[in-house]
Amino acid sequence: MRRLGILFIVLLPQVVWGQCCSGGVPMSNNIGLPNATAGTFQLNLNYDWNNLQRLKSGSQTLSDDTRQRETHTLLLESGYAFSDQFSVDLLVPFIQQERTISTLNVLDEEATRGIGDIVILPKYTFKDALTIGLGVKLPTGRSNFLNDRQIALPADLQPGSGALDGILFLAYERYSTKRPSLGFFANTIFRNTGTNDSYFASTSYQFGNELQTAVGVSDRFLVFGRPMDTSLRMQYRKRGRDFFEGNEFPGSGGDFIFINPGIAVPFSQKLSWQVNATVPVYAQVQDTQLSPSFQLNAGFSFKTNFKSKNSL
Amino acid sequence: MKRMLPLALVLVFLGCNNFPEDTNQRSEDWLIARSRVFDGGPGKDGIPALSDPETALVGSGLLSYLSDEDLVLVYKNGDDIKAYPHTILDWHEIANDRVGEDDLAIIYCPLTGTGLGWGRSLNGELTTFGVSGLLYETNIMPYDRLTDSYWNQMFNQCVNGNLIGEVPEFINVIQMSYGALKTLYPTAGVVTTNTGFFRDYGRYPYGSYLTNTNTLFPVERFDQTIHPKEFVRGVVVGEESAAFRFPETGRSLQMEVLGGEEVVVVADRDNDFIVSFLNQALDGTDLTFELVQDVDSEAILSDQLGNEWNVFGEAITGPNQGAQLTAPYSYMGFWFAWANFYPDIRLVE
Repeated sequence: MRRLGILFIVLLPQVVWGQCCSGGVPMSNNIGLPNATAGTFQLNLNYDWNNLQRLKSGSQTLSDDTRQRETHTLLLESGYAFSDQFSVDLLVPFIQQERTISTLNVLDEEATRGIGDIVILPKYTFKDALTIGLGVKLPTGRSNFLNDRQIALPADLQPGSGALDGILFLAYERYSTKRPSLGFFANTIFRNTGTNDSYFASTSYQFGNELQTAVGVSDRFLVFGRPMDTSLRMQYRKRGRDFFEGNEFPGSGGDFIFINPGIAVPFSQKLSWQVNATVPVYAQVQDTQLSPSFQLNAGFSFKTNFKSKNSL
Repeated sequence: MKRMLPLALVLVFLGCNNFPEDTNQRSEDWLIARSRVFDGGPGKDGIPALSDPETALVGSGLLSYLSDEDLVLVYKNGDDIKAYPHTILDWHEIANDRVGEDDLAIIYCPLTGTGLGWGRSLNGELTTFGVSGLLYETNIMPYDRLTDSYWNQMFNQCVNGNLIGEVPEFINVIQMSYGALKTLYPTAGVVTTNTGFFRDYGRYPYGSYLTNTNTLFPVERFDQTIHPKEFVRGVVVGEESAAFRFPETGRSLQMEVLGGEEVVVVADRDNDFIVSFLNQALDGTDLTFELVQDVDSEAILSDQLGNEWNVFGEAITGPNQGAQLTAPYSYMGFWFAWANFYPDIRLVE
């Protein structure tokens, strides 16, 4: 029980960090619920706000405050553990993509909204430490929104990618024997992107492959007599270039490093609340593109066990 | 109360949108295939057009960001000469400016390599052009800020909006190297990097695009008879069009009949320009041109009357000094773009 509680603490922060507004949100680091005992059902509801307004050219930040991209995502993630080792996660995002250009003369806004691409991720845990998952991201999100002149909006402004992606999920955690609430974790997620062959006018679009790896530490403290779970994570993300009709798409791809502080407050054994921030510390983008400025993620986690009342 | 928070979160999320209505009947008529128009990503004015950009005299320290090989687009109006470097236009694509008494917009598309000028007076009112963020056949689509109508550069027409069907005033600009500009027009003003925007002007924003054989957005026809990104001067007269190449070395003179008119073309490898004029009679006399071989001279052509002509088609010396040759509808651009927009174009070696 104590061991599972620690696992919950350690892995919770990994669940809720959204990232960039790449088509077909959720991004990779929204994927993967904490491990749980057989019969456990988990449900997370998170709101994710991702703001991009730093215009970068390579690693140089350009002084330009005219552009902004925002993604609002409501993430509904559920999972069921069929055994202590095997579980399946389901992630359903509801997304609003926004692009705003504000100059002296013009305020130009575009937005799309709809259900995004759904992720199904079966996972298996070895020796309560190493979790491996192989999943898919289904092209359930719409990817053919038009603007008010009936022109196709760009792929990264669509709620869905229109492509079937493969996902590899690896997570590993250790915790201190001297201070059991102190955990260390690492995870890697690779998303092998498919191609949307029915992008506008029978054209094809493929988002770049994505690799994301993170290491972090978490611990529980008592604050005003209440337990509070804190975490700090450093994350590296590499995103390949997008391809439009087989050609590299400008302003896509790059390398990013973020730090993610977060807190989670359990209300009970079943329900907790958490909030996380994502702060960029380094970005090297291809060509010129907006890169993440700030991200906030907040929500609730609920879990219960249908087999044993005491297992939580 | 706590149990209401998730619901409140959902409601806040659903309420905080400004999702646009898909109803703008005025905008539904297009002169070009809408399915061939793509949103390039940055959005309307995401690539900021310049207005009245600062210039510095050729050779000024403010222009040290340019090398002699860098290409510039040059417009001359009397004694006023202004040059707009590709290095700047790669990042801004449009420069709204006034040269002498002429209000014009320099329109440059980095993806098709096409650069020309448009008058900024529309139905008697002055406007500026901005970058719509849309591309047709991977070619820039400016919009005018007077009516928010959308235009296409190579189609050379307003294709959507209140001014649909209108044709802009075409203004001939000459592309040449900065080194040539320094030699030929040392009094020219050149746009500096003090544009009001902070951009990495020393960095080409499209990677290997200039040398590879790809397009960034789909095109109907992608002709690779020669390297698709080779700069040619396309000339359109009537229903006929031709694309003129640089000679392998030096300077060349070509005469071609297009649309029943004789077109005179001078191409200069060293100075990186190709210019074209209609060979129309001067005071009733048909002109016979000869090439001026001195590449450091402003004169590029001479005729049997003793006139010498520059790249802008001006008679700079001789009995008809001040006369002006007519420039046809022509400008520099990548071969693939000309071949795509003008499928019957003739490639002149």
